[in-house]
Amino acid sequence: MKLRTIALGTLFSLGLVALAVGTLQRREGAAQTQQEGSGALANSAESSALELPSNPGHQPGADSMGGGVYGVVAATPFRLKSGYRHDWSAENPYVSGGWLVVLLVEPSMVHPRQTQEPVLMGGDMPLERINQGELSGHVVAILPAKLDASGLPPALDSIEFYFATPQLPEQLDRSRAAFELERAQQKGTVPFGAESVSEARAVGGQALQLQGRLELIEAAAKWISRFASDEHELAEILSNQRG
Amino acid sequence: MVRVTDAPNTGVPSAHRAASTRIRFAALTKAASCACLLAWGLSARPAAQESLAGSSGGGSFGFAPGADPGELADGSLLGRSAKGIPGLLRRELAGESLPEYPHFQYVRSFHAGENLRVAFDPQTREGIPDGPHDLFVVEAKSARAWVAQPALTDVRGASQSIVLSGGSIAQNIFLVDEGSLSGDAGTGFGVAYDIVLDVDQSGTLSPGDVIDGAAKNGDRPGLYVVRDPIQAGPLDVTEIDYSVPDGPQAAFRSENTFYPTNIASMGQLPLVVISHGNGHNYRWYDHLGFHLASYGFIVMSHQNNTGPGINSASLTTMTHTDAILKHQATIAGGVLNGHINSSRMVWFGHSRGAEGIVRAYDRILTGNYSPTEYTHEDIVLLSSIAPTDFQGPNQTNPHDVNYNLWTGGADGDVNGCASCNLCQTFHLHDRADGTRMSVYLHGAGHGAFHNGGGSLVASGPCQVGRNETHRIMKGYMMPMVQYFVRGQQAGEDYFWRDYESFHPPTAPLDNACAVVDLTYRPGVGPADFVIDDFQSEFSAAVSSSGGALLSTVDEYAEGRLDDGNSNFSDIASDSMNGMTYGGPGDDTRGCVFQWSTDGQSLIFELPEGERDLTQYDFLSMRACQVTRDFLTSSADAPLTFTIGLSDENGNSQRIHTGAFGPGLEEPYPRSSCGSGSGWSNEFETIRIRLTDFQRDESALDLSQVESVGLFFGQSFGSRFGRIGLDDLMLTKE
Repeated sequence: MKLRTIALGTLFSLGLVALAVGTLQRREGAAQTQQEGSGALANSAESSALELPSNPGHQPGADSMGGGVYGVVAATPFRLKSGYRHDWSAENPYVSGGWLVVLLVEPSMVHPRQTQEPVLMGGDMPLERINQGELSGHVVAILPAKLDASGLPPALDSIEFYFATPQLPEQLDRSRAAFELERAQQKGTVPFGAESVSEARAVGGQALQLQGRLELIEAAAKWISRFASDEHELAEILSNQRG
Repeated sequence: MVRVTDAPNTGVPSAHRAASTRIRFAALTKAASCACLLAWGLSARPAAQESLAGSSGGGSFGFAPGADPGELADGSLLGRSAKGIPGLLRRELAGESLPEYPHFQYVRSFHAGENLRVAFDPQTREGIPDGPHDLFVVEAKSARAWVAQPALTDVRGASQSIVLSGGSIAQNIFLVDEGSLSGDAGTGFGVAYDIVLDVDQSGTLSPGDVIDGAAKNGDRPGLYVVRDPIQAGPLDVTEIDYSVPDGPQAAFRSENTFYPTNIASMGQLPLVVISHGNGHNYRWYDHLGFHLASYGFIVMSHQNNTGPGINSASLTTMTHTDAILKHQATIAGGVLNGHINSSRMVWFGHSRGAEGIVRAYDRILTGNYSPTEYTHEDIVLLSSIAPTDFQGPNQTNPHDVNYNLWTGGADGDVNGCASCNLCQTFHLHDRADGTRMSVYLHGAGHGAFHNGGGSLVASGPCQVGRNETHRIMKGYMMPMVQYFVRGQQAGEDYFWRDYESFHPPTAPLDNACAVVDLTYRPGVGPADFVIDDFQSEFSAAVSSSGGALLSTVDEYAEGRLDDGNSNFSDIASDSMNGMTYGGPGDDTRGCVFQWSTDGQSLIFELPEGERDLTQYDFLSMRACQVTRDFLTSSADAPLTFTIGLSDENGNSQRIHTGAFGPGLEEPYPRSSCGSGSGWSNEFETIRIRLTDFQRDESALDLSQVESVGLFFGQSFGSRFGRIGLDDLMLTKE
């Protein structure tokens, strides 16, 4: 079945959150097997992606559902006056802007474990996951990106979102990231469609002009409260990082 | 399993004697030319046979006044000076009775409310008349203090009259207290006492008296009475939650700190930093925070950036440690200001955080990172719960810092299976060059070590819950930090004494699933001697110290302590099956072997020049059952064997390991990771005081020990079995 892009409103109308929770319940039984040695995890990024029922309201062929990322729920570009280093890739690129996004993901992909986890990717860049998202299926994440002359990151509908093979993000270098992207593309992962992105942008609100990472995290905390309310404790902690 | 019984007045189990004949004929055909075998009675020399039968073969180990290294309380021959009282006899006296030879084990720590016994070994009481004498239990003093105040005041209210007898130490064991002695040391651990035999009944410590204690500086008392380390300490505790303004990356700046409520009236307190694991929460370690703070520690648990990996986690540990030191004047209004002892810090981590703390130490030590407020020398203990091993030996290495490991046998995440090198917790432990100890808890899952609720992340039978896991954690963590951070010696007994015979009084003994295995290896220094750690001299006929190694056991193999394939299935070609102590790049080695015939043995000859064992206190080794082996599965019980010493005069003495506890535990009976049942191999430390080999009529001369022997089979312990062995060494206390 060809997988389809589903916009935010459609996701909720389809009861996808409930579907995700259902998946989580099924995963409880599978988790033990996955955790019995990391080897069992090796293909989980490919094997555990859900196939959603096709949605006649959307065009086929413009979807990004192949790698455990079901949809983009909210997105806004951000720009920082004072940047920081991105810990989630081997090169530690300097972050002065990018996308703050909320992605709807397959919960088993973000089940916490100490061994290698599937790495959430945006194109050839690992995202920084701010919350767990296991119960809600909603992951608030930061995608660092180069800003263009107008101070904007690359268009969101040009970026594939997917889970790469389990590994440590800080060990994932450019060449490995390129390999993961190519692999995902070969498996049919494509960027979210313009309509999805447009809806997500509408939810995300206006672009963020921030002082630095601290403010970015505070913005992320608000989205955790909104989209992953089970993690309200984390949201509260992230809202109080000023010392 | 067959337990040997004592032979009256000889100290040699009768079954051991019976077995010796069989050894003699069996071994002669294999290695008759080896002198050390001859000493074990493996030749036709009558003297050797007599010694095996328990008769004196000469080489007595008397303690002539003025010549005994333990003669004086301060270890030197001095007059009545500031350093000690002349003519005192210093002896180990306090200990516990054993069900078989050597009948009594001299130890350091006793739990409050439990019986306290002393024993006089007739072998070492030359010059001491039978009595009657007055036995005193007194407050411990240094040798210097005894000179100034020699009067004896029994803490029990009155001294006790005893009469010594000859023969066995078993006839000279005296119950001196039935639990009345206080173990309340406030925030410390262990109330120190000395035992004095007032030979002349003068009521003062005077020449000719016997004392257990009175060491230099008072740091080696006769004994400690300790409180139950699981119970909270005397101090009220305040918990605060806050963020530091800089240092750790934003999103990871929160700290949850526990400190004694009356800290304002206290001096500087040690700092324990807790680094959680991936997907965990810094607020999940209240059980440790409240517990240790009630004993006067400051405990700070911080947000940890574990998602990217181990380097990020390690950076978070380092920057949080910097941050609490740097901002102590402003945190919670400055309540901690001036009260953090930054030179006595502990890093404690869980899973990725557990590897992170070791990586952090490695980074500082190797110059990869430089903290601003402390150095690596300020970290005195690393304690890891279920650490991952992503980075390998070149980056995650405890080096020479004290290292402690916690492993749950039912861990469903860092699970220890042979297929997953980064899930094998013992890698980091075996890389530690300094003092290292481990606690292995059967049935504990990955999530059982924190108190965040939710899944135990456990797999396997007979699981142990959070409450029981936390009781064991408290029961060992407290003695550990008291020992390594505060130098309180009472904690050390917890590391090596068999859990079944010595454990925190409220440990969950009512749960048969809560099986605990312990290993302890003090840092190997120039004062110690490694007989065989299998790290060099890879020939099966030579130990790493260069002495001959004579084996009559079956399927003896040396090698890296790393399972040879990706599962725990019992396959003949995988001699190191179940070993998870080393991964790629690690060089930790040991040996495995098995026995099914009575009298099979391993004899380690000591090199010339290394045979004076009087300079050491303990013979120790670590050993384990080999998982899923047919013999292990068939035994399905703890295994015991017998350890012996033989001197150059042909005198020998043996001790059954079952005297100290049930023996080497069978592996945790977890399946998966291949076929069969039994999880990874669990080393346990066996540590025997060398003078235990001189009990009763033993003629063994510790000044000229020729070989150390391990004897197997029904006359020596378990009828059959397959075990791993490593770190056979002689250590000082």
